Amino acid sequence: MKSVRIIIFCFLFLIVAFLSLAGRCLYLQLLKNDHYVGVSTKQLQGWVSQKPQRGVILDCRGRILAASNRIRTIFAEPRVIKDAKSTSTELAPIVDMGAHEICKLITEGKNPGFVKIKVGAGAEQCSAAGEIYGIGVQSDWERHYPMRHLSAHIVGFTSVDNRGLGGIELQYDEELGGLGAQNIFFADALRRPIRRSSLVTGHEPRDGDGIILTLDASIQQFARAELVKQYESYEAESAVAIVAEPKTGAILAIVSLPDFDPRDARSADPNTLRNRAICDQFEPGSVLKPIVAAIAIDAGAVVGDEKIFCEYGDYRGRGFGRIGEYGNHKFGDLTVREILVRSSNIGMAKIGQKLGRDKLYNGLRLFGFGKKMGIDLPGEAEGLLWPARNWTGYSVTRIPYGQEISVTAIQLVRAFCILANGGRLVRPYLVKAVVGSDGEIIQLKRPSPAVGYVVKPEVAEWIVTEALVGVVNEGTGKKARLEKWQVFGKTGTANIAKSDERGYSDSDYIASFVAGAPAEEPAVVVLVSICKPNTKLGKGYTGGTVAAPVAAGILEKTLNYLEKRQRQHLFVVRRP
Amino acid sequence: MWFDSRFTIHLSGEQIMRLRFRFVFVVFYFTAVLIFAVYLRSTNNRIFNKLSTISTEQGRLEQQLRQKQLQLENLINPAAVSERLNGSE
Repeated sequence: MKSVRIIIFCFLFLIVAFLSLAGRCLYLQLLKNDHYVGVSTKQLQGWVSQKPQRGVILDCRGRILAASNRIRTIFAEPRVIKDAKSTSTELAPIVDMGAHEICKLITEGKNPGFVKIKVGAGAEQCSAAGEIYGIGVQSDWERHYPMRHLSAHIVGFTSVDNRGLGGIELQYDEELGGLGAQNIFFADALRRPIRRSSLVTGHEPRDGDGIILTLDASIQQFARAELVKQYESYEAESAVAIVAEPKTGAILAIVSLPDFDPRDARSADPNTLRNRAICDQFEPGSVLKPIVAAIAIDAGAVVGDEKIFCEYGDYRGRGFGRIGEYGNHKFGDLTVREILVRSSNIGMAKIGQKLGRDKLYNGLRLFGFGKKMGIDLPGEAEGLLWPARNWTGYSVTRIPYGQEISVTAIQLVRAFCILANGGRLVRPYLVKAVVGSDGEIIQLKRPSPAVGYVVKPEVAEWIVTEALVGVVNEGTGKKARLEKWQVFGKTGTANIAKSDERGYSDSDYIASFVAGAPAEEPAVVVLVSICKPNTKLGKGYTGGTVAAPVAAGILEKTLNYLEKRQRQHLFVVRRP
Repeated sequence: MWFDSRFTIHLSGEQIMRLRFRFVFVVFYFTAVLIFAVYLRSTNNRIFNKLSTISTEQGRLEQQLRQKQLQLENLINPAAVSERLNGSE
C-alpha cells in the first residue's frame, strides 16, 4: 500500500512538474513572444551607415579637379580603457607613434568616447589596431584637390562633413553629395554578417554624380602663370583673367587672384575666397567703347567712316559738365575707327549723344549688362546699369566710355564673345555635363545655340577686324601683338571711385585688356583685369602696359595648345 | 523464413545479416540527409557572409586604385608640371 502511494505521489509530482513547464512554455511563447523576439532581433542585428562617395569634378579633358577617397582613422575610447599606459604601449609600434604621445592623447582627450590617434592609417595598421580593446577604426571620405590653387575659385571647397561651401562644390552640392543609407543585417555570435534584414529602411545608397566642366586645366595654368607674374610684379590688389570660346560660350579658364588652397580653405584669408571674376563689379572704362560703338553703328546713329570732331580735348556742355581725354590728348576730327584706336572719350561721348538714351540703354541690356548671366557658380553679381528713366545728361556722355556703369568681368567677356561670334548671342557656361557614378551621362548642360543677333554680323565683323585690330596694331594695345596670329582687342584704364568722398582717385586704377585671336576667325577671347597696380613703382598703370602683355602671353600659349590638340585629334582620326 | 503458431517470424542467419546492412544503410543515409539539410540551411548565411567579405575587399581595392590615381594626378597636373619645370630652370 505504502509503495503504491509513493508511486502515485511521484507520478502526480511529475505530472505537476510537466504541466508547470508546459505552462511556462506557453507563457514565454505566446504571451512574451514579442518581447523576446525583439530582444533576439536586437542582439542579432547590426547596422552599417553607408556614407556615399562624393562625386568627382573633372575638367574637359577628364583631369581630376576634385575627388573623394576613403580615409581610415584609428581612435581610442578613453571611457572603456582601464590602463592607458599599457594600451599605448601596445598600440605604439602599430601606428608608429610614441607611446607617451598616445597616452597623452587618451588621458587628456576632451571627448571620453572618441579621441583621434592616427588619421590616414593603412589597412594593416587598422586591422592590427582593431584587435586592441578600447581602440577602434573609423572609415570616412576625404576630399582631395590635386590641382590645389589652380582651380580653387571654380571648384570651391567642402566642409568637414563633406558639404559644399563654395564654387561648383556648393552650386552642385545635391548632385555631388549622393544619397546615404543604413544597411541593416543579421550577424552571428562573432558579429559576422549572415543575412540582410527584412527591415532595411529607406533606399539603397547612391554615390554622388560627377561634374564635367568646360575648363581646360592646361589653359587655366597658362592664364594663372601669366597673371601671377604681373600681379606680383605690379604689387596689385587683385587680378582676374578669363578665357572663353566665342563660338560656343564655353569657359576655358577663370583665374582670380589672390587665391587659396582648397585643401586649406578653413584657415585661408577670407579675402581670398571671393571669385572676383563673377562677384566683383567695377567701372570698365575704355573696354566698353567697342560695345557702345557697335550698338551705335547697328542702330544707324553713326557709320564706320564718319568723322566726329573731338573738341581738341576739352568738351563742355550744359547738362554734362566737362569731358577731357586721357593723357590730355587734343584730338580733332576722328573717324569711329580712330576713336576706338586712340580711345577718345570725347568721341565716345558724342557717339552716345547721337545714339540717345533709350537706344544706348536697350543696346547695353541686349549685350547682357545690368543683369546676371546665370553662370554655374554661386555669388554672381549683376552689375549696375541704372534704368534709362534715371539717367541724366551725364549718363549719356559718360556711359559710352565706361563710367557710371558697373560690370563684372564675365559680363565683359560675354559682350566681346558676341562681337567675336559675328553678333550672335552667346551664353557663357562652365558645366559641360553631369555624369553618374558609373560614367553614364545624366545631363548635358551645354546651352542650346541662341537664335538671333544682338548686332548685325557685318557690324560685329567691322568692329573686330577693323577697329579692334587697329587698337592692337596702331593704338594702345601694341603690347598684345603676336607674330603668328592677328590679335584684336581693347585696352581700358578705369579710375576707381573714392570710397570716402565724391570723385575718382588719382592713384587707383583698374588696368584691363580684352582681346581675341585670330581676328579672321576668333578661336578664343581673353580678358585680363588688374586692380590697383602700384603706381609708385613707376612702371605704369594703364591697360596697355599692365594687362595687354598678360593677355598676349595667354593668347599665344592657348592658341599653340589648341592648334596642337587639333593636330593630335586629326592624327587620331586619320589612323586606321 | 517461416511463421510459427504465435506469428513469430523466424529468419535465417543470412536474412538477418541482410536486414542489418539495410538498417545501417537507412540510418546512415537518413543521418547524411539530415546533416546535408542543416548544411544547406546555413548556406544562405555563409554565402551572404562571403559576398559581404568580397564586396568589402573589392571596395578596398577600388579605393586603393583611386588613391593611386589621385597620387598620379598630383604629379602630372599642369600646375605641378609647371612648378617642376620652373624649379629645374
